[in-house]
Amino acid sequence: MKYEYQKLGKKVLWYMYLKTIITDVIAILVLTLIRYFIPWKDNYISAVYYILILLTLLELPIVPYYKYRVYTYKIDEDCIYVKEGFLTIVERIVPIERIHNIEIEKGPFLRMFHLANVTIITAGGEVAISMLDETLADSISEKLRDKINEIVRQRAEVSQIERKNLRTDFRKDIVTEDKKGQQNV
Amino acid sequence: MCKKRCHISIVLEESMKIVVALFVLIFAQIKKLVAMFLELRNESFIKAFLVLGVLLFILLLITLRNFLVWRKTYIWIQDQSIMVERNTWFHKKNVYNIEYISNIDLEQNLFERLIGTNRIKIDTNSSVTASKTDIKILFSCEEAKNFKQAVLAGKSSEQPKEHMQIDTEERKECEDDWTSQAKGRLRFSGREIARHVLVSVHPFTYVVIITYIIAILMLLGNEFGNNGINHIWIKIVGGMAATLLAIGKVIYEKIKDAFALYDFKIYRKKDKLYLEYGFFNHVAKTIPIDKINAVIIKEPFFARLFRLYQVQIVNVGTGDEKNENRFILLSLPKNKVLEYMKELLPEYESFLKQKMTYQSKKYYFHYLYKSVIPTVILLFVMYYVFIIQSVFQSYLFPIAGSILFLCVLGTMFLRFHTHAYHMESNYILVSNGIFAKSTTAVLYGKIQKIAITGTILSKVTKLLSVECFIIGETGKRQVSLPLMGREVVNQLVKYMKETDSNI
Repeated sequence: MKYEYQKLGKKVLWYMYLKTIITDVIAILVLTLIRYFIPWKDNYISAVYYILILLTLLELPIVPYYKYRVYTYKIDEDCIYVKEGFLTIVERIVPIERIHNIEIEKGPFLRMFHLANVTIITAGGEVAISMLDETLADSISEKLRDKINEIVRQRAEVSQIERKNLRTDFRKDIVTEDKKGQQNV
Repeated sequence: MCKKRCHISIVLEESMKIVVALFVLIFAQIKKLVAMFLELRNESFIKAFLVLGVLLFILLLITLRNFLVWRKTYIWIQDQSIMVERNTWFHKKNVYNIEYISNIDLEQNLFERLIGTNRIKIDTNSSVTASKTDIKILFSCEEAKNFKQAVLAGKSSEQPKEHMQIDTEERKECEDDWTSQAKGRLRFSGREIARHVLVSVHPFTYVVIITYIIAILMLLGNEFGNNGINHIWIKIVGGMAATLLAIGKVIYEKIKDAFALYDFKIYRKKDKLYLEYGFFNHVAKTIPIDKINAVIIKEPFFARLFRLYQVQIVNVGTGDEKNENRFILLSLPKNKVLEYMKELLPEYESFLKQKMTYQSKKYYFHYLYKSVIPTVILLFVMYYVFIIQSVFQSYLFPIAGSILFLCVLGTMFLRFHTHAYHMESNYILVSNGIFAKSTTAVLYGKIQKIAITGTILSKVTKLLSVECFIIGETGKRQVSLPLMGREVVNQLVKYMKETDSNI
């Protein structure tokens, strides 16, 4: 069976625009405050300030759209893949059998758009499939939970068999040692 | 198992920490305090005693609080779990599943050795708590050993009881005679420990000391020019004292390291490594082999010069405390490392013999691409500081700029010559470093997550950077692989998928 990378829904783009507007407004406020409180004011500092403001404003029409286009995820039989980024694109891969815990997160802005983040936690870190539709997030989390439970069940069966074998081996050892002991006596 | 309290000496030990902290605080302000005391004596003795009384009262309150915490804290083992319950105002109950325990170690500092207690340190196998110890308990030596045995028995509760007894006897047999030259049992001499400590010194330590001496000489030269010989002797004494203090601190740190590794010994029995070391703080560690998440072969700068190798392990519970050692083999020549690894960790022995694959020379483009923006920003800041604001002499700007370029290019070349990898069907080896070199070996089953990063340049060079995440404390959690092509990355992912996790 071939698994394809999935894209996020259209409303995610609007959520990304909203998030960028909020962060940009905060960034401009912080930059202006720094410029206002900085003890020395010369042309160089002003130039840096205006360049940073320009970059922040340019971010709004470009970055959310491009990030939305790049963001894809895939869940196959063994692993979860999440691809995201802007200039640098990062692909994160987590084997399903290493999962310890799954979390669903819905913040106030995510709830406005009926979206949710699914965070997959392993013993060595975490990966999030972000901005999924609420129902999709629930179904993915349930499917992953079922899969993990299945793996745990299989492991328990294997370990029980191994332990049984260990006990049998141990009894055999005891019997052999007993026989040796009796022969020595 | 019935509920137990820690040994009562924990109350004294915890209160003593406050006394030591107070003592340090008082000692730092001794001049002011003496002046204050003299002033008080002139005015009235009662005020001085009041200050002392308040201090003693605070100490008494802290001791009382520690006593109540001790009285209301219980530890016990129940249904395959270690339970720690604190019934104070802030009620807390922690349940640690024994199955997830990675390490259970016994420690003894000088005070604990005098009164016959042992500190038990327990760590669970998770990166979330990898940077600190999960449970710390203080018991009498006998109780501590019994508790450790009970936890170890709990970890393999399905095993027949007799098996555990045999295991304990075998362990005791090995512990009895460390002087025995039995295979796989290794004890480092004082000379070997001293050699290890000396070759582990970072070359920058020497650079800092030399810079310190030069700076002081320059300062003295200036003073001599300005004030003449009569005023200079105070500066000479001050400068010498400061330099000696810097050198003394390095020597003190190294002596401390040597004492921390005093009588370093290690052996393997079945599927566990047993480690013991320490003079003032004696540490006895038991490390299950399956809880080792990676093995690192370290070659610090001076060890690299003398062709000596050190072996460390990445394991939750080893090296998570301040100044804690994570070595299993101290500095040794390669043939000795191979010989001992065969006995101690045969699972990882072959790693030392593998031929590494170096990355493509296209790496230089990636490095320059990554360094351009930070270097330009730094140059701009330097230009602003040296030329526009004239904080330093303007002729120093080209010198500082050249040093910056040399650092960027030097790091690029040195890193290229150490960053390499080797892939087998069950593990990956990664080497890296600049002056020092370290080679990390990770079994695919221990990889928890992979992050593949591609930049704009990756479309041209077809090279990707890869990071593997394992369970370990901060700084040891990520293994950065050299730049590699998509087909090698796919092969790595395939191996990881095919290997079962064995946490």
